[in-house]
Amino acid sequence: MGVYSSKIVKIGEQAHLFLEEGIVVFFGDNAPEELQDVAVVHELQDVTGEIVVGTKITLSNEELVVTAIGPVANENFVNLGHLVLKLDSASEAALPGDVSCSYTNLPNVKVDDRIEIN
Amino acid sequence: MAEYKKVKIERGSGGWGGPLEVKPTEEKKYIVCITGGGIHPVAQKIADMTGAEPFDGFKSSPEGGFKAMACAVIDCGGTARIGVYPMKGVPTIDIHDTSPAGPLAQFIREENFVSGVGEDQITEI
Repeated sequence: MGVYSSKIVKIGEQAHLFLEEGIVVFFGDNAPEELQDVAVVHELQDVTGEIVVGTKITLSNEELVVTAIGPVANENFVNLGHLVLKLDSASEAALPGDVSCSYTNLPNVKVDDRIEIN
Repeated sequence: MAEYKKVKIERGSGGWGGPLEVKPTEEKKYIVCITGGGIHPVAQKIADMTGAEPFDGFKSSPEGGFKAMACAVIDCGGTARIGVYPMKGVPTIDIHDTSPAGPLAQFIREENFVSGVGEDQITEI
């Protein structure tokens, strides 16, 4: 049983500002429009566990491994469907909401792709 | 007509920015809370002290949109909401200890953003 599994339904108009810096901002499809504008929007599902260091995330068929997690990241994910993946392989989360990840190839995120958190 | 009072909101010990003065008006009468899980106690206290209306901004948008927001209360972990509401011209209060970061950092200034805010950082003026 994984932590989360869902489908990308929209890429917000300004999400590229973040993606260009290796940051994937997720919000659920219930979030207000101003937040969907900066986000990769996923179809909101239940979160069934906690993300920890070592958690594997498959995003758009690329495998990411969590290297650090900020203290409010899990809470934001459960409450708001909001997750911030930083593809920086950091060993300490720079910001309280960060989920830092290592990767082999950068995911090229598109509508209808999937995010699976295991 | 409703009478609104002004409050001062200062940064908490690990916070950044501010102090902000929030005074709702007939046009800007909502204390909008974008934290998930309903109205955060910080938003409730600002609403109670000013006489403005608390509004769950995650569930829907208030009539009048950003122009109707006296301020936004967020629990941002540092990347997205921290910049979105300042960019839209809404004074922003983060309950977490954050400082400007991310692609929207250019919109975040001491005049429109304060962080590390708990109920003790809100005072009447």
